[in-house]
Amino acid sequence: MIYRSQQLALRYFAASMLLFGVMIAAGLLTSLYYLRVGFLLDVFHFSTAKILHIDTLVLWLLMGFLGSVYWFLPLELEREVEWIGLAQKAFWIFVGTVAAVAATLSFVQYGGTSAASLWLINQGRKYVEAPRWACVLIAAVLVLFGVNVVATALRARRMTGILAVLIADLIPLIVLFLNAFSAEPNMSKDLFWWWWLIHLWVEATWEVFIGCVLAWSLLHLLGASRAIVESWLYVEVAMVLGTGILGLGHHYFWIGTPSYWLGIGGFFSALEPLPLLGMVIHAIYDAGAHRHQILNRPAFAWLLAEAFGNFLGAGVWGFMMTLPQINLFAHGTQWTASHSHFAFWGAYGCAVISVIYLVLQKIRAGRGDFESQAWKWAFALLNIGLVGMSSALLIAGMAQAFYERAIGGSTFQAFLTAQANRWMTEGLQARVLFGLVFTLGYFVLLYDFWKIGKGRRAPETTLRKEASG
Amino acid sequence: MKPEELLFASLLLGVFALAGGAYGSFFAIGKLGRSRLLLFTSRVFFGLQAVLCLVLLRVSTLHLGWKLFLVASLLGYAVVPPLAWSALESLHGKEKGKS
Repeated sequence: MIYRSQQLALRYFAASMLLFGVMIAAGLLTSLYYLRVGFLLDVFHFSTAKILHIDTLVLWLLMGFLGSVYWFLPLELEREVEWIGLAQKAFWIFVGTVAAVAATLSFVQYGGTSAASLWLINQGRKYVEAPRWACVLIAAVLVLFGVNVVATALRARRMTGILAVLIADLIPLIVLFLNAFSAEPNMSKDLFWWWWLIHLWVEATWEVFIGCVLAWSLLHLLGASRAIVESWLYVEVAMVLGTGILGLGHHYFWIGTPSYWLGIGGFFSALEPLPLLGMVIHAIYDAGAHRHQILNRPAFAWLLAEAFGNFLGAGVWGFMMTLPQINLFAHGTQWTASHSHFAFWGAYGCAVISVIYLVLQKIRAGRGDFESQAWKWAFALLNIGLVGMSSALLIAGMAQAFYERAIGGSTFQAFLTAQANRWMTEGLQARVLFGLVFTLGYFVLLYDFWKIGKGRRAPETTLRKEASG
Repeated sequence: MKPEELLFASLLLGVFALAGGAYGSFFAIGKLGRSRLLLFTSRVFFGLQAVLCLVLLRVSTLHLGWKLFLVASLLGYAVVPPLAWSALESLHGKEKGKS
């Protein structure tokens, strides 16, 4: 390891994995509330467990993304990242902020109807519950990250296609986060802008961001040609943005926005599987074209899982419920939770794990043996657990949409009837079982991260021979 | 939309997209392995997707605009795999030519 930036990347990956564990623990806890009425009543609120689950979801992925860029950027520009000392301090600020917010939300949760509550305790907006002081610091960390990237490119007097796309993406990544500070009292207006943060971050800026990270991964994992990777990146970014930006409209269906959003949102979000299918074709092509050059099978397996998981979770699961006539009943049920679990995992979770395996190989094994039994177990348990959870939630969600919304007309009585329905209760029980499988996979993954490739570095002479050959 | 149609239509839509994914995947694997059997399997999945589209057009109560969209979408699924494959082959061919 040469660069301080790459040491920082390792810290980000460690923090990311820790938060991944917190997300799983909070998710398991959340799933138990559905099985036992009154579970932890007045001890630990359902809403707190849920907040921890969904906020750590965003944070473990975000930390994984930042770590990936801090790893690849010095390799791309062949120099240390500018202002790396500040970036290292910013990491600790980020971690300290997350810990303080988790403690605040766990022990205080909410305050009175005053500005002080917004600033110090909870903003009360899903996914951005963190109080404002924390959002200010997180925004500052993101700005510094952007400055790191741009300043390093300027100092290196070098620009690559992947880097240009990443820099262009940093602008919306930071600007859209400013939506976290809104205090709009009109709920429709608030939700209108809130979705710009939630949806556009995830289905536009994050998609582009992970596209850049995966492009770098392909260069380093498969030795793919830069011209090919960059050309494909441009095409995929254009297609994903073309469908993803106005696909935002499917969140505008039932929040008081004009009805033309039904057509716009339905049309563009229903197109989203097509670019994802293109990614699947690309992944299969690469698997064949580079099959003899793959030295890091775990990283490549997770890369393939990303392509297929993204298509299934975001594409197929999304297509099932995105047309307005169906979405009217499905929106906000366990059906949505099923889609979001699968889509986040496929689009981002698998990619972050793939990059971590790539990095571990570089620092531990070089071109030496990088293989284990544990990675296969982790891969199988995590993916079976996730597909099982998503399927169980899909069954519960369909039952909920059917009995509570379509038949019952969304009354309180219909809500209670649906909650007691056998399809729903058994679906939620199955979700807990598959959640346990997923948790087991997480521990095997951690074990493998700890062990894989250690002491397997190929001798220098072999490396020299390979280099000269 | 009647309650029964909600589940029927959404499941058919899911299988429609899934069949499109299977068609694309088998097409790419078949091309990669130059396997006629896999390429034939891909066409079977596309056929299944076309049949599902037809059932959705005939039976479901989706609005006419969405039915037309499904037909257009089916055409999209038909062309994306071969187009993506030939674009990838052309890019790799150009790179090999340069080196």
